[in-house]
Amino acid sequence: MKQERSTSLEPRLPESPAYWDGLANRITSGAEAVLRELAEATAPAENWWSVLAARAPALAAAAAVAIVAGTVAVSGGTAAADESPYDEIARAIGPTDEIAQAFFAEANPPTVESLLPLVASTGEER
Amino acid sequence: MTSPTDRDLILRVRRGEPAAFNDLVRRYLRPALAVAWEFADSLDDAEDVVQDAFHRALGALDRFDEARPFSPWFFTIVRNVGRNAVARRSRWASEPVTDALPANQSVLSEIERWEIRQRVGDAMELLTPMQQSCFRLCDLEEFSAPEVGEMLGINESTVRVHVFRARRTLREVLRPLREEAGS
Repeated sequence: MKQERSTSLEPRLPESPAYWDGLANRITSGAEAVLRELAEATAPAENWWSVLAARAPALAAAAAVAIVAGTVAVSGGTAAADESPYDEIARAIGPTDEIAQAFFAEANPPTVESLLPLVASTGEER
Repeated sequence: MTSPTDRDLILRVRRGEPAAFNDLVRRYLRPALAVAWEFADSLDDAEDVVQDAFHRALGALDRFDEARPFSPWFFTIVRNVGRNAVARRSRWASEPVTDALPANQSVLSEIERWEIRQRVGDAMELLTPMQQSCFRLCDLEEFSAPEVGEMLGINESTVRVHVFRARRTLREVLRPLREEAGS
């Protein structure tokens, strides 16, 4: 391993703390450029939340405006149609025959009397 | 406060924190220099090897698996950089000038010291390179056998065997020197 002829049985490593400080500083300062590159490369990926936090007031204001505008639009629409969203959905997905519609159209189930004419008319069609 | 683990420091170094790199350097500097000197002709050369090894480790840190221990990986880099330095020097093939006598000291005592150094050198040359390294790192630089094993990438018990054989050889070869000194 060693190439040079050794002629001493004394320890070779320096003992002075100043020596080790100097060597450590030399090595660290020589790596500054690489460390700076590493810091720049990792900064955007790790600090996305801080970028978001910096824009939080603007984002909150935009969200508030969107909520107000949405509320106004929805309240205007229901006033005009005078119809609940439930009715709209029931109409869209509900069955088309009259008997089944009688079950869907009201909140309470239909009476037998109200269904009999519908049954009669359906039988006549068949 | 407990000191941060190697893994903590490595994760921070990967984020480019100079303080973490400085801590890592200081933690491994002394054993790294000891290993580097096994491949170097001088302290200056050993420092260059260590600096190069730390910078290469930093460059390769993104490929290092932090679940594994840092020291064996790092000392492998130190040894590889040291071997490369040896290969470069052997290509240059310049013989070092050694043992020049200082003019301001007693010539007689210098000759005696020179003779002693020659005999120690002769004795050391009887050791294998690994025996020299293990003996120097354990007995002269006072690293433990497990530390030296990690530094040189060999088993701890192998370190102890190399040290034992080195001591036995040196004791045999240098016995006349001790007897001369005692007489």
